[in-house]
Amino acid sequence: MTLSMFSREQRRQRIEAMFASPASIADALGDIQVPADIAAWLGRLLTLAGVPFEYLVPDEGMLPPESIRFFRLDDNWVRALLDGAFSLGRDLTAEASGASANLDRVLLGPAIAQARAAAPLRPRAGVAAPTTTAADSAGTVWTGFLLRSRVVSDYPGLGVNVYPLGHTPDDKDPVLMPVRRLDRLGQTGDTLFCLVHGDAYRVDVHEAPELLHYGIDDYTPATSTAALTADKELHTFTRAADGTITLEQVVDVPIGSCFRARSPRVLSLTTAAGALAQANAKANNTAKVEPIDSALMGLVMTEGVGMVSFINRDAS
Amino acid sequence: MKAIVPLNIAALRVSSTDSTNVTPVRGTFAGRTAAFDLLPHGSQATQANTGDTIWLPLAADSPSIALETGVHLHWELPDYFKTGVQDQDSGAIAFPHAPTRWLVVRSLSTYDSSGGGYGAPRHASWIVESDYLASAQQTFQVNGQTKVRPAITVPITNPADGTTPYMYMGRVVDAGAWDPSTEDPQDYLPHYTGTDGAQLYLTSIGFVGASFSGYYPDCRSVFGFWDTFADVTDVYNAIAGNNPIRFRVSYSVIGWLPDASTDPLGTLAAVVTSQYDTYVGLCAQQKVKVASTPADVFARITSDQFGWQFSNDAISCTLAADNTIASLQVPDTTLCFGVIQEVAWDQQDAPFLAAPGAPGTSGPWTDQVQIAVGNTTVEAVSALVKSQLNAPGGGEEVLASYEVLLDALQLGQLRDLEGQGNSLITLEEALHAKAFSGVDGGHQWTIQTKAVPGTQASVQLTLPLTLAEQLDLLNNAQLAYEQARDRIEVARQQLFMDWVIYIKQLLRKPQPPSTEIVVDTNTLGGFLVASNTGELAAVTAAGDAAGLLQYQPDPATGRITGISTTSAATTLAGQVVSAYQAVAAALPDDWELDAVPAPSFWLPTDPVLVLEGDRLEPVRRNGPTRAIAVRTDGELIGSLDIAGSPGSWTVPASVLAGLPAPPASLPSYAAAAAALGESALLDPLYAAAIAAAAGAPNPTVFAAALTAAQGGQGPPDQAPAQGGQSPPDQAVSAGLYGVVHAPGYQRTANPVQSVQQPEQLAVTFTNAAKTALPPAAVGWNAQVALPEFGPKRLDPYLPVWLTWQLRLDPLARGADGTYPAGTLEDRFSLDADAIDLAYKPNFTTGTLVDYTGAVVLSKKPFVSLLQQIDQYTTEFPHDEADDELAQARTDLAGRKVLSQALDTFNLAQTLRTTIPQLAVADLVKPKPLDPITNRIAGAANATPKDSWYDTGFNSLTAISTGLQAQGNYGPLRSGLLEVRELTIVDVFGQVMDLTTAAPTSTGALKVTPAASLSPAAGDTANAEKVYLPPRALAPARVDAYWLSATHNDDFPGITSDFVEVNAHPATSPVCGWIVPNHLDVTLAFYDAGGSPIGSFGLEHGASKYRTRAGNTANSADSLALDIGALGHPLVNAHVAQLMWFISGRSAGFLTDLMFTIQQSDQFINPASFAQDVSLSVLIGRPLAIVRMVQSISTAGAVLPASQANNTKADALYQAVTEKWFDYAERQSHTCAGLDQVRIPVRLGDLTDIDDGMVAFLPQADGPNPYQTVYSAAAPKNGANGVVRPGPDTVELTLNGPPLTFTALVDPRAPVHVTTGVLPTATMQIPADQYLRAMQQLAVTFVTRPVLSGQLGLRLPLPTETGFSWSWVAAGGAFTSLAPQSAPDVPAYGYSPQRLVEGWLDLIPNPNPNSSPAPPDGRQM
Repeated sequence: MTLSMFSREQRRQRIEAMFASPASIADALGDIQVPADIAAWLGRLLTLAGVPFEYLVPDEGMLPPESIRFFRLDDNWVRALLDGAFSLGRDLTAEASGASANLDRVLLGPAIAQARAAAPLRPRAGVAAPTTTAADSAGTVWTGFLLRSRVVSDYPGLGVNVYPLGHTPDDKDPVLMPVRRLDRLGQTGDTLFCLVHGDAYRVDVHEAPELLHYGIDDYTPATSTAALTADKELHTFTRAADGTITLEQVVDVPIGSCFRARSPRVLSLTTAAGALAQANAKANNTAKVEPIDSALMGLVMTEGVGMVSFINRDAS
Repeated sequence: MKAIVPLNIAALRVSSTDSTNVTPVRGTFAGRTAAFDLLPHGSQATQANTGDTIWLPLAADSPSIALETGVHLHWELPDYFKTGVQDQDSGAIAFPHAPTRWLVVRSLSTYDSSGGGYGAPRHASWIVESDYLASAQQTFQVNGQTKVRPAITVPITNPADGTTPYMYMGRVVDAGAWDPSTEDPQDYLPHYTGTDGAQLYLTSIGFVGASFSGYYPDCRSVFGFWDTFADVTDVYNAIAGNNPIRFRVSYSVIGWLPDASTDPLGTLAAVVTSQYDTYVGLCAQQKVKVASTPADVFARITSDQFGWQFSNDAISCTLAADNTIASLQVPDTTLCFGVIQEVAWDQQDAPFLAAPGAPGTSGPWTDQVQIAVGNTTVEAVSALVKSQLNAPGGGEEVLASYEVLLDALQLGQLRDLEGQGNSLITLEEALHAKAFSGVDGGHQWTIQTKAVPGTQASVQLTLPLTLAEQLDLLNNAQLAYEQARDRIEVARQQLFMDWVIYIKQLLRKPQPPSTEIVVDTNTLGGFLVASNTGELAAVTAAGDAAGLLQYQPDPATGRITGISTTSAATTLAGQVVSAYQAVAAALPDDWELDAVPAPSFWLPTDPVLVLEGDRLEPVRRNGPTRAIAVRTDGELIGSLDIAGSPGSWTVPASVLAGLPAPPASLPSYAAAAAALGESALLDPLYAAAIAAAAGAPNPTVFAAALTAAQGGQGPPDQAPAQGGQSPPDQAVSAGLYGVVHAPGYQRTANPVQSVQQPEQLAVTFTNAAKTALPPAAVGWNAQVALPEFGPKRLDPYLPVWLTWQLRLDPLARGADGTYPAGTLEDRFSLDADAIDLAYKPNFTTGTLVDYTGAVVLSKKPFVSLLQQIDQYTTEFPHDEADDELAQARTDLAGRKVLSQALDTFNLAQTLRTTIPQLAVADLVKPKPLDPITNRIAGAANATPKDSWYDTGFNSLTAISTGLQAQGNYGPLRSGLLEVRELTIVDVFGQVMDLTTAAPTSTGALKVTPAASLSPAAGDTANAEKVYLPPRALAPARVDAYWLSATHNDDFPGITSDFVEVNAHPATSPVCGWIVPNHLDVTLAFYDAGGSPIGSFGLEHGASKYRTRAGNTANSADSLALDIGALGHPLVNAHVAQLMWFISGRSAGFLTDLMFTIQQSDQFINPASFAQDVSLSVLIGRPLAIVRMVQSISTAGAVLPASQANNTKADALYQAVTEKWFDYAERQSHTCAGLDQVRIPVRLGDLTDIDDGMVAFLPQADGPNPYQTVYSAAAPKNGANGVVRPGPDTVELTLNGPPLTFTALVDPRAPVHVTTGVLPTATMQIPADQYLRAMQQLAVTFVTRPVLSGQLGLRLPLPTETGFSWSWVAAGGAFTSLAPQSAPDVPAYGYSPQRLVEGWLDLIPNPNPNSSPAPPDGRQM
């Protein structure tokens, strides 16, 4: 007597039935967990790391020098990319309903989702620092830009802030979008690749933040006919009794006289501080000249970095 | 130091009434089975002196020597003495020397009815000399009468008259009169030689067989003692006269080997020293720390060799500076020691042995039992448990599943079933394989690396081709030798069976035309021995032609390090030796030859019965396992430290009044005296003496309390209990006796027993050195109440024999009694659904045949189940089933179950049965003796070291007449079986008939068959029977071997591809590779080394060959250019043939083949996938092209010939008339056509995901060997030459020509070969061979389309260590590609780009040491 539990025919039917549809495979597999290191590798692939540049820009004419091109990643293209990565050790088949194809259908979805979650995230700090949430990971819209310019090679360390519609610095609650990749392609290259998770609305490209410096706003060296002239735009301020500083209007303060006569490119900080203090009192219509100490000097002298904003006017 | 080995003693009381009304009664008691005194001899005899004349069937007659009045003792030899070891050269089984001297000490205490208490013990001592030989039985005097003390007979010619062919063995000497110095060696067994000329000595099997030492009527004067009480007249007269008397009697038995050289422990010190010093030497050599102690080595040796487990105190030693042993003390003498204490005798209870309700006082015991039958004990136990379960929801199907789960549990595979994979199929195969027993397949040679001390030798060697061929020649020579030896053994047995018929006819002298005579006696004699021909000459010639090999094993490891022969170089043995020397000479230095066991032959097991009944007491006289706790004489209990409320005392045994002492001339006197002292200290019989010695204030109360501390049965006739248990139907649990006998007892030194009643005592059982250990339960016995037998039953019932009667409705045969070749196809089916054959209706003859037999019972049916439950709960401590398993275990442990295989049932199918082994001799005819007999007897011992008797040449006799021989010669065992009668006989001969609750409709016993033996569902007519699936009753094996892929002609003798008989083929069997591409529908072919050849693909609806990528020399894609013209291959010839075959097929063929490969993919998931390395994964699934041969061979390449001798049409007459002297020829005519029966074979197992078979092609001779591709995964109605195999696609015959196949296999999984009639065989390509080839595969990836810019082709390729990438476009040559480390960095100037197609090629970098030029000038 043959026990049905030993029946080859039944086993064969069970195996065939299991591979017959993605649903039955999914039932059999249960919760699909991609190993962490593989998910991380696939996540990097999702940022197009390792994809030959020629495939991203099939013709150089599409990205001439001194140009920027914004793009949106095609989800199908990404799935095809991952499918290729998964094709190792698999019987390739033209048959759409085969066991191998069904297995792919079941595995690809969870694998891509887990790869997205595992894609690298550039660390950001500050009030508007992005966080990844489940919703972020699940979102399939990825956007970015390619910038080909001497700016990239001349200003290493360009920074990018990307904001979605309704959350720009001009809005009440600015939100920085998660940057998945921001790479200068090649150590000496002039091409910048940026990829963010989500639909970008405004992109600020700025100099490296470490380029903050003391600065003045105008300087004309002395000539045979004219003396040295220089201007500093002063953000005037008032100081309350408890020491609180309140910023007021901006005034233009001529500080040409504050440079040392013998070394006309060296600013005499004491003199300049005095001039700026006088100008501040004058602007505030007060007789009391608030002395500018080193802290206040830092405040008034610091200049920010250069930044260019791009805004998607077509966004709704 | 002496070892004290526990000896189990059973005592049977026989009252005067018993001795007249019970023990002599036929059917109630059974007597001896062997009676050499019945050997016919002298001129007056009319019967031949063949083995059957001395054999007394158990149930046939009343006992010829009934048990007499008194107490009969039987001691069970320790297991070590009952285990034989097979000699490698001759195959003879040698048993250890058994102890032959036994001191029996009896202590007797009679009840004084006037005083109301038992008197002081009186003692008496005897020596039993087991191997004493005499020409008459011993007598003794009692009351002026002469009585006989019966002794067993042994087949030794009495030297006194030179003709009486037997002597009596064993005698009893009063210990006081015993003086070993006066022994005459001629009076003892070792003075004589056996049939093979070797010195005789006493073993556990004696001259009778396995049952000898365990069955009292057969060994009563050897391993037993009859206490007649003739020395105590008051007791004797009361018993004999049936007068009232009550007494208690205790016996101590001490056994030893008088010849110290035969003591198993005699060489122990030397062995321990040698092994330990060798170990220390190895440690020093390898500069590793010495981790083991001499005590470890001692424990391992004693445990492995003897099963004896000593305490750490049993060894003491000192070490020298170099850590070797300087001095060593270990036990050097074996003393077997056991007691049975307080056997109570109350004459009023007599008879002791009669079954209640039996007519008069005679009649057998009966028991209603449940019976299950299976191929194995495991199956039968599962079936028994299943039969006792209620059918749950789901009914029979679920019950059947329970049965499988029970099987799985017992085989240790239950947990595996929960895992992934194919564990159900593994379980099914394991269960199926267990239904066969392995028969030694001889030796096989392998080449391995030399084992560096401390490391394993490696057999994972792929040999140079020439060496592999030499090894193959050696293995073929070895195989020829082994087969010849097997055949000789069978032929010798046939000669003996023929001689038995001859000698019987010769002496009975029936005159023609007597119907008794079929073959004329003289003609038969002429057939046996003629001047230069005849059967004897054929047997002798075969022996001479084969010669005899001697193996030289390494004494330490057992590894065979050499072989030699004294036979001529032309003998098969001589050829093995010369082939061996040739291989040995060709071996590199660090390699060596090793002999491994060749694959076993498989013989179907006899059906196994498992019986459960209230009266089936499980007998574990030597404990449940072979391991047994053994003490030294220094660990005997020598004194009692007693602390109680009235005071405390130390009582050494030596101060006891009335303590028995051994005879002064006993060789181990001190140890024996200590043992007897311990017996007294533990025996309640001596409690009063101990109390007196202690000087306790109230000796009676003190003695009663001491008795409680000692424990034991206690006098069952005395109430209230005196410490022991009374009434006797309560379990023995009290005192030290109870502690020692509790299950799972772990012994502790100097055990303490505290009692509260009748006064408070704490008794420490100790000795002067405080090293005392209690005796093992095996050696400390008392009467056990058997309430299932009756309220007063105190005598043991120890089942030892099972006699059975079976009724078989056998497999149908053709009109001439032979099997049609298509029997298996016509009457059975092996569908793809199972691994055994299922029957079709009406497959039997309908003529019922009865078979009877008697076998020694096995006593451990539940052991595997209990062990597996224990193991399961240990390994999976938190399994939710553990609680229920624990309950089940408790339940099972208490069950009364016996099991037994129905030995000789299979043998009887081939018209043979076992027979007591008597030497070939003619004792009847007056001199001159019969010349034919003399010639045979002479030949049997003519060859030194090759005595025919050693291999049981005289162990079988023919069943040549009667119903069984009338058309029922059934070497293909199958049919429907019923169990008609079962009877159990115990150690002392007590008989018990077994019944079942309700008989079957045909009056048979009701049995539950295991699933494997169940009749087909729906076959109601046979539902109560047992189905025996077909089995060939010859040791057979499936020879499934790889064929080497290549051969060379360097070594003479190998002219074609050779069969790889080693499990690890010496050379790779891989001829080539196929890599399927299902996207393109192409099959790419590679050679064995991994170089591409070309591919077949579908183009425009046609099959088209394309050469390999980058081969610019074959722009026309000519197959002939790539692989050579048909018959003139440029690549491996078999790959070429396969490619030519595919080349000639249609597009449909290619499509179907691709479909098949793809289908099979989902059914293959190799268990060893983790062994895969990177490349084999990269390229999908390469399939190896291999060749295999399949055949089924039997031991000696012969089948059991029919022994029928009823008519002139029968086998014997035919053989004699046709002069089939040679057994091989004889069996070919008289095996009922078994050799022609086609056996369906299934290659591969689609649904076994660990089976790598994808497709196979039967291979014919000639240049076009292939016709059809077979695969279980083929399209259902394959019309293009790719089809599913049918039941008759592959069929083999026993010893028939091998079939050759070319197969496509996934090398990562084994190939299963299923026949049903034999265990499933597997064959696997070793990983080292296929992995290496897979790594060498030059992989070409079709790559399209890709972008190529102005700066060239840039592809994101990884760096593969050891490989280089290159690119080839159609029709072009290879260009190398550099791996791109950062492909995403732009290199502007690439536009415009274009799309290109081609192949990426991954080529192994050339090995700097050997660099064959790459084909096609590829850049490397």
